[in-house]
Amino acid sequence: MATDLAPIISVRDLNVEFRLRQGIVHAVKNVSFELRPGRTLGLVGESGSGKSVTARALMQLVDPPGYIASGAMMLGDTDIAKLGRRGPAIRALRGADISMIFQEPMSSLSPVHTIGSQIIEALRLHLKLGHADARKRAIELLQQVEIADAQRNIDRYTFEFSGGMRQRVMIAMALACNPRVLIADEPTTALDVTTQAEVLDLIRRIQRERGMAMLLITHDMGVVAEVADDIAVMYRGEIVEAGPVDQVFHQASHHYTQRLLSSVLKLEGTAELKAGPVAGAAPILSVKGLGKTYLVGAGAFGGRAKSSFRAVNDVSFQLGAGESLGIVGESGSGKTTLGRLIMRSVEPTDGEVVFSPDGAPAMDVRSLDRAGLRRYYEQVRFVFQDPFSSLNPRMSVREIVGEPLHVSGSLNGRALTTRVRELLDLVGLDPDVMGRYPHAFSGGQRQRIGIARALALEPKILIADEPTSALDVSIRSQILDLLLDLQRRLGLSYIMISHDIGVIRYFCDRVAVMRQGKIVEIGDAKTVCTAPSHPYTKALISAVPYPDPRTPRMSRREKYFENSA
Amino acid sequence: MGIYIAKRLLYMIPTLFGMSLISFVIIQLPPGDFLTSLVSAIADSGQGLDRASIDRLTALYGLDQPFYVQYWNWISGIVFRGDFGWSFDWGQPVSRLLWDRMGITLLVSGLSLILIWLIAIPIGIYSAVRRYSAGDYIFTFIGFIGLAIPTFILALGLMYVSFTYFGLNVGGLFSPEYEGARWSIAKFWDLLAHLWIPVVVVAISSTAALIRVMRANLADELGKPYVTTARAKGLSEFTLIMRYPVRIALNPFVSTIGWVLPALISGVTITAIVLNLPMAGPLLLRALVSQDMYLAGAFILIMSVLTLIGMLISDILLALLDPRIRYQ
Amino acid sequence: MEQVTLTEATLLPAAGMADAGQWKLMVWRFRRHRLAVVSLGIVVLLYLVAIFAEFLAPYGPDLTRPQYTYAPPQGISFVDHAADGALSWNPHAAGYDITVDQEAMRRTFTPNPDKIMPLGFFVRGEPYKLWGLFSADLHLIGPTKSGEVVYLLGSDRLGRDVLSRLIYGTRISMSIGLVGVVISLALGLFLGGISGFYGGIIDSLIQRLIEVVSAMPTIPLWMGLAAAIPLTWGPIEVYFTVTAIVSLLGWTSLAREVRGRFFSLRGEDFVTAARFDGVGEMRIIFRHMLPSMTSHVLAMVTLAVPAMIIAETSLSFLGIGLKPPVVSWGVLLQDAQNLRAISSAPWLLLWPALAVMVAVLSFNFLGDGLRDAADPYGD
Repeated sequence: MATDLAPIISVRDLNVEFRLRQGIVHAVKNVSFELRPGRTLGLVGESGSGKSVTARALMQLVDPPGYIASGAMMLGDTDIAKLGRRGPAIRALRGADISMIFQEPMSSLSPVHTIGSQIIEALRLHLKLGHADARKRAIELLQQVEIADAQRNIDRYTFEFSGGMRQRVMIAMALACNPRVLIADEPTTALDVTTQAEVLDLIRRIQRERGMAMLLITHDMGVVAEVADDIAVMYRGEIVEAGPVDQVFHQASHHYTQRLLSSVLKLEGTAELKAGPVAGAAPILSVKGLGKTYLVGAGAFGGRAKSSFRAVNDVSFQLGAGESLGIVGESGSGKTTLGRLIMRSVEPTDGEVVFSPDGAPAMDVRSLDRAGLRRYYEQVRFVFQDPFSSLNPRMSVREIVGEPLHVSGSLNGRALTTRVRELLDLVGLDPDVMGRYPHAFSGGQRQRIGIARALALEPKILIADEPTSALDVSIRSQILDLLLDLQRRLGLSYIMISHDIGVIRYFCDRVAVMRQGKIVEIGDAKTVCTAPSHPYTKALISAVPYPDPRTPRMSRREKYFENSA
Repeated sequence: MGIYIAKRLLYMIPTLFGMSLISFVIIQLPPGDFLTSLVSAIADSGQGLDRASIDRLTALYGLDQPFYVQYWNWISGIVFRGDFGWSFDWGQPVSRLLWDRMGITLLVSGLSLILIWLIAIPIGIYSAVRRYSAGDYIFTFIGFIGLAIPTFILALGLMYVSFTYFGLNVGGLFSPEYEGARWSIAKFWDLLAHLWIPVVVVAISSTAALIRVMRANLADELGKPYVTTARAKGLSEFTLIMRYPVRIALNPFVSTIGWVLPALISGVTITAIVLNLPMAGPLLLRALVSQDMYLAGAFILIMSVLTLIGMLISDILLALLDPRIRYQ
Repeated sequence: MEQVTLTEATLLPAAGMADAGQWKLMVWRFRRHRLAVVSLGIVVLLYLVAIFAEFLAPYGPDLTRPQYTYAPPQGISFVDHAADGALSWNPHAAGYDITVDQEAMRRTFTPNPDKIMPLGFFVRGEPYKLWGLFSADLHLIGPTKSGEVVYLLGSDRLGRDVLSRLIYGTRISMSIGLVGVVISLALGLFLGGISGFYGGIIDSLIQRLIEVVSAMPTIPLWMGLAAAIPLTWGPIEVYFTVTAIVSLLGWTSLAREVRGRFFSLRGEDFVTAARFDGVGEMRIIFRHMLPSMTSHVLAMVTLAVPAMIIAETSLSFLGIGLKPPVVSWGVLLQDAQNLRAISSAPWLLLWPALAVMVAVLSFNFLGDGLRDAADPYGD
């Protein structure tokens, strides 16, 4: 590997601590690494591993109560660790020698300043350009990051741009003063996969053209494999393994890295637990021509709407008994609304949903009255995306899991408690914790509580809306395995809504791909994920970064344009 | 922008209607109508009023009509002719008594608002940036004291202190020598020399509240990612705080005019009564006590409408400051 | 984005917290706010004063003594300084000589250090009926020698004891705050609730009403409403009317808060989850949503009390709220209305003003503490 070039930045034994009420937390412990021109170091780890804090420490941007306790960060002859958080010395470096791209393109830019003024500011500050020159340069920068019509767009505000566009603006701003080092902190986490692929392409191209050193912070092993040259794995504040990408991916020596990679790779395959649909089973749920129209711009006095928007458009599919159907799509594809329409927490504007459980009369869901809906809710249950907001913080686990039992009137008192114990045991939680409140549990545990609640009334169907997207990758597969295990034991049918192709491929028998409210493709999960037929699906699947540096997928992806359909 | 202002104006109409209705209800509230008071007043002065005259007056003022007709008579007079009714206590049209006094009330309110902003914004910024510092605690404490003292007690206290310790009588708006004099620069200075007391008294209680608003707004903004972005650009701490979070925290601050203005007018009213200043307050009180209801109702209505106009101005200001509102 | 990086294990609260319900967590958090805890003590104390006014006040509120007009505060000390410097327990008030200026028809009180007025605790004095029910004549404090009159905080124009009047005034002023807030809350909950629940036209109508009322300057509006109270009404009618007026204008912010919370809670996942659990509308509101609101509403209500107290005081001060013989802090301040009165007897302004301030400050701090504790699950 090319390590011949002298490092621009070398970090030695960096320690960052946070002084909190409960005591001192060592967020970063003895971290050392080097950044070399033209190369990208991927710093990976799960949430709380200290990778973001490390990145911020490089620019002295760790906010109190955090502070750099010890260590050196040499940029040439300057030790950044000794510069302090304020003062002209560190300010002269920030934005000029080292620049940073942040995760949230929405909140990382000021909403009340034009994008131009935010770029021009950096140019005038470090390059001492006049206003006219700075503006000209800002337009060039916007053109470099492939923002069309830069002349006009420079005077627009951030809220007039999409997420991907905002991230391009962010990149233009970071590049403004030709920095030698670029730090990208989860630059594409908030973006859809296809947008992510484009933004990563752009970052990588510019970084190579300019010969910058780059530190890429990410939790996504796929992104590292596709983009980075070297990799450092962080776990609980320490770098547990570092080296060239290929070496770390294929000869990982630390057990944490091995575990991380195996849980990532697991989601690249299909679950072993998968039961598969019962052959020749009748459909338990069928959706026909389902649609939802929102009126936009209706006045407060009930004035006529200016326009309408089809969130879900003519969606039809059938869910077989014992089957797992995936609904995959990017943000705004209508997949979440679809889930809510089936549950009727959002009223459909057209189409029909028929629930036909085994050995009972079929229900036309749209025509159910209050009591009917209640019976429907006993058999069709929902698992939420956010394990924090979906559990009432003011109710104990026993009350949360027992609520459906209590309301249906089926169980009371001791019998109810016994059933709650059973349910908690079923989802792999210690039944003795049921007196506790949700704040005492981690994200994964909370999601298990949510599943226990869903199972309380022995349902037939579970609709899960991104049940794992708020969780770290290692916990993700555990929850999916739990759901699959439950399916086998309880004969459940699933609708799994997700943006994550990996989750779908791992979990589902069949998959429907949604785009702009419509299903563009539906079929066997394996076929759709490996040999998609619709060009949009092709683009979507090929844009997912593959967690193996030897077989990059994203860089050879297919692009989808409206007219290529 | 034009559409936005037009929309706001349109939204004001139902509010105006509601305010006028409440004002009219207040006019109607006292038992009996103003004619009863008039009759008894005339009777007190030794003259009698015969039945025919009473009936004539009743018809003239539409007092035998249902509520909505009376309301229509009243409001149409105001809207179309600027006629606010008759003050029997003063024997003059209400409109003649109204404007002078409202003018000074408005002047004091306006000056107070400016003073409040001049104090609250810098202190709010300081308190937010140096949260939990000694200075922050001191300002917070002073602020709470300001919040806790009712305006009229403050006015009384100030009156007492300036009289016993400085021998000043702070009542009135002019020194005796300028009382009846024509307007001149000297008289204007004299006015200012008297005006600062009500201005300060009125400002104090709202200042405390606004410091807290500014502090809370800015403290929220300081933790936002865009501040880190600006810091990562290499801006100096002062520049970046002023240019980004302060700029954004000012937006909700501007909209506080909505509730500061009614509080200010309230404060001015009661301060003027305590200090016996020739403003709307004492006249309103006198009107209410003597049940000179058209005068009282007119004051309440005009004060409310002025508040509403103030809010409109703050909305427009907010739209100018915040592109997100402007582009809606 | 991770700001503070903690491993999941350290993020989990200590063992005791795991089983703690919301009220327990709120109490823990509230106790961290020292000023609020102290304020809670003061508020409780004020209400105790209001409840036991008859016992705590040395005299009745209306007891006039023409020979003691504008007597200055005598103060109170608990120990005696003997000539040799030794201290002995002997609660007493400072005495004075009274001279009458015949020409000005005015009494002057000159302090006389040789005269002291021994005081005792639990002394028998003027008989009263506690809460109008129990006859008693025991007072917390009073002169031990019968026939002596003590004015710890001075007397007013009619020779009435300011301390006693202040104590009786506490009963009226503090109860108006409480009753007013209850009426406000009822109105706010009702209107805010149906506004949030039904939405649509009803919601916009109520929102308009709130807008109109909150955009009108309160003091002129209060004045307008209070002035309509007929002079012929008795004290109790006036009391309730004034309370109603004061609360009529205080409900808007409560209604707004209730509605806002209602809307934001209705969109919460856990409320949707309850709906999917088959929970009925009523149970959703009372079992799932209300517990998240009560703490916030409690804080709002506490913060609304000071405004009520200030309103009552202001109206009574202007002479259009409560009127004598009712005694409230505002009524007491009426006596301090002109410069002459306060320059010759500043205690008439000082003590009631101090009482108002202490009450308002305490409620403010208490409300602040409650608000901070209201959401124990944040940060």
